Amino acid sequence: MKRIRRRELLKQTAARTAAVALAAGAGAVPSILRSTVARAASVGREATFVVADGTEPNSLDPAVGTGPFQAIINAMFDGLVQWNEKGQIQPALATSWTSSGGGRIWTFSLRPGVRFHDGTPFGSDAVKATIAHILDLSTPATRRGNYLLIKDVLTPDEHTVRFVTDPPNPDFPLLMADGSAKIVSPAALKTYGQDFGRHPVGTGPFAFEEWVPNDHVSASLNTAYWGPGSGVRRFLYHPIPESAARVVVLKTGEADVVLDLPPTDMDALRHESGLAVYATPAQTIAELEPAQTKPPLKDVRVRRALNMAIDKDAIIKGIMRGFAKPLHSPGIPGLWGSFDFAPVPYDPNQARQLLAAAGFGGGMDLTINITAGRWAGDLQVVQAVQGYWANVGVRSTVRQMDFATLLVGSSSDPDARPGALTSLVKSSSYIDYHLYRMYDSEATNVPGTQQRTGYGNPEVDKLLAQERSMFDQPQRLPILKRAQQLIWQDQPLIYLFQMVNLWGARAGTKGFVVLPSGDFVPGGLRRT
Amino acid sequence: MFRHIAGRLLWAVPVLLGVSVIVFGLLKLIPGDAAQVMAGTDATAADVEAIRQQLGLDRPVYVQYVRWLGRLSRLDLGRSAVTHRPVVYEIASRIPPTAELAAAAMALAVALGLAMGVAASTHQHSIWDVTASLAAAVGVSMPIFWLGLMLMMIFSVGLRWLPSTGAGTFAQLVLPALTLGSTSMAIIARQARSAMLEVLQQDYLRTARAKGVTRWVVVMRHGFRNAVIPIVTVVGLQLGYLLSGTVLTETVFARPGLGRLIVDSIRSRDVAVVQSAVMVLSVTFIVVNLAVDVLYAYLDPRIRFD
Repeated sequence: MKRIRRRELLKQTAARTAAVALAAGAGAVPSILRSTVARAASVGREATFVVADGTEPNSLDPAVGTGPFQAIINAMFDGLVQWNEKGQIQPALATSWTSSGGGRIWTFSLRPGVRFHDGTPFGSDAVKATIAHILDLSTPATRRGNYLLIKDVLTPDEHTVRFVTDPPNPDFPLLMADGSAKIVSPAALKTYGQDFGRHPVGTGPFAFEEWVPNDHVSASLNTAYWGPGSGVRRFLYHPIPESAARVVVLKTGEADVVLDLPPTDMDALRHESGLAVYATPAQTIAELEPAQTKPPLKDVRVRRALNMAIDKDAIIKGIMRGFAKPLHSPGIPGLWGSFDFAPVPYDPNQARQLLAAAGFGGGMDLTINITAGRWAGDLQVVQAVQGYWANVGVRSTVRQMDFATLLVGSSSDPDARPGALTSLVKSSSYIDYHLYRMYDSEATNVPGTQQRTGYGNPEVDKLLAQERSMFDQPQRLPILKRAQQLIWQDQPLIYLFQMVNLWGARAGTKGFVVLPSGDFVPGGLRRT
Repeated sequence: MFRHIAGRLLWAVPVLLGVSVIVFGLLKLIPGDAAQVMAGTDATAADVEAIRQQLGLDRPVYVQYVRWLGRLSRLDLGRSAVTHRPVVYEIASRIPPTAELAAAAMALAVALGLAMGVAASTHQHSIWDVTASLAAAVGVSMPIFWLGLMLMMIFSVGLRWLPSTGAGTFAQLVLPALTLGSTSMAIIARQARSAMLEVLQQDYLRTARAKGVTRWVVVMRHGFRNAVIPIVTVVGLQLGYLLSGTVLTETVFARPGLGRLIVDSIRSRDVAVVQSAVMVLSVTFIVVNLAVDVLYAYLDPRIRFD
């Protein structure tokens, strides 16, 4: 081996350093950079619709990839039915649906002439294969539990599929509108097996092109799409974890639509030309979940007083900068079957009286557990609550922890943590799901459940069981209302507010909706 | 010379073992359950227990550590709990963008840092010196996160010269490299300045000047050559800083890479990926330090013939 001499080494180092310095110097020349950018930007940018959100997909298999990156899943896949922005379901791959057999059988008529991106014809066998894929234990399907009621999938003909469920469920079509129920190509499932999430094949307006982890997922236009045609040739999902960087790409036009914008930038963005920002109600509420099987939080007067002691309007205005809505319901406003009730007024004096009547005139000690940073302003909101409670004599300690620890706490036995509250947000797309998991005693004190508050009201349990077995939607409404009225009287949670979706779009973009769930759904994309 | 390198290589073994104990131990100490992550939110307790047994998480911690070390030595790093793909693949696919970013940042830092440091030392107390020292002080003080956003606001939003995010083109590399390299550049500039100042005051250089040797030869051939050893030390140390800095830089600029993989994996408690990625970074750091040690031997005869 030739030995390098010191002199040679130094010469080479100097020469290379000079070369790099020259290259760096050249890189700083704006004209060269401008042309580089122009070249990079011109490669199909005009024909590409770019959506940016904060999260990298864990999988592009709809059954597995159920996180907040649904834009790309929605671009490549269709479900039997789909949500619209008013929170109603509408036909997609199914054109109509009916229930029979006392609600145990749901029959969907399928759209004819549809093909998957790999050329496989879409039909009842694809629906059957999709459900079998979700229920297959080797598929890490995050929402498998919701599908366990499906006992059989029958395929009487190519364009008809019949689901047999037990127990009967009036909300079954809503389950079929879930992102996890998008229909996948049976041929691709067979070819790729558990690696389908890297080779997704659906029937959507765009067909999968490539996935560069942590950079982008792209899909090209499906010219044979059954739905509205798009005026762009490509769709690109760009995960940008840092919210300030998402603001930048919206301003520069590097992205056409940006989801999950930070509230602090909304005012400035409103005055920016060439783009529009929106604050639309979300299906998400922010709340504190008290462990209420033991004093002091067992007493309804205490929970009422704690709700009454917080000036929620001031929090919405001061901390959330107006980007939240007051919550006067145990449901989620905007969902079918959710009802509003008389607001619990901000009244510190009455709160003090209620606490005194409950035997806590001398105050009490509480603990609020929180994972800070899960949504903008969360810690400040909880600190404000702490201040309002101190004003009525309630001493509270805010304990910050990572999310895994928080969930270990919130799902532990409520008897073992009297006086503890957990700061959480809850999102649901239909009312029964929300009411059941938050307030039915079957669900609120089950080991492992996230919302283990221990709340229970036998009358509420009875009403929820009753409405869930009714298939006449209008008849369910009064029962849902009565159940929510009883829950509202019990004040089992510390209700903070309803969140809003903050998103922005470049001027001249159209042909999409952002659902209350926060999901972007393309429907004939255009950019001018 | 050989003894010197062999000694350094031997030292790397206990260091690596120490790192492996820390990486393994830290992830054991933080709460949360890797089996639960793998099983998903709807899994039954029996499912989680089955996965725990399958992963060997029901065994004593020291057994888990030894088994992990054994697999690590065979490069069998297991599968990601989130993507269910081999960890080796997840990491290998993220190394090129991170290496590209670190190399570009280092090139910028060395080129500009040396130029600034040498210019400041040869023009001591001039406007060059003051400017270079000020730039170095600012460079050291600015957090990566803030600097990245400021550069984006100026060059992407204001001037529209450069793209703000992404990877793949030269233009997309400029802002992240500048952000990541700025602190190292400042440190190298300061080190180069002080090393050069010290060398330039030596008697032999005064003699060289008195003999009529040109200024360029005095500074670059006689001065810089002798000042380079402490600078190489700093450059070596800075590479470690750059590797850790990629975590923030890749997050701010939404670039794919090892740093971002670590952040995402920590958030989702993807233990297998975090452990392996941190080990890869640690090994890189140790190898770079080893390379710097070997380089000393070439540069400094006192070490070579020790």
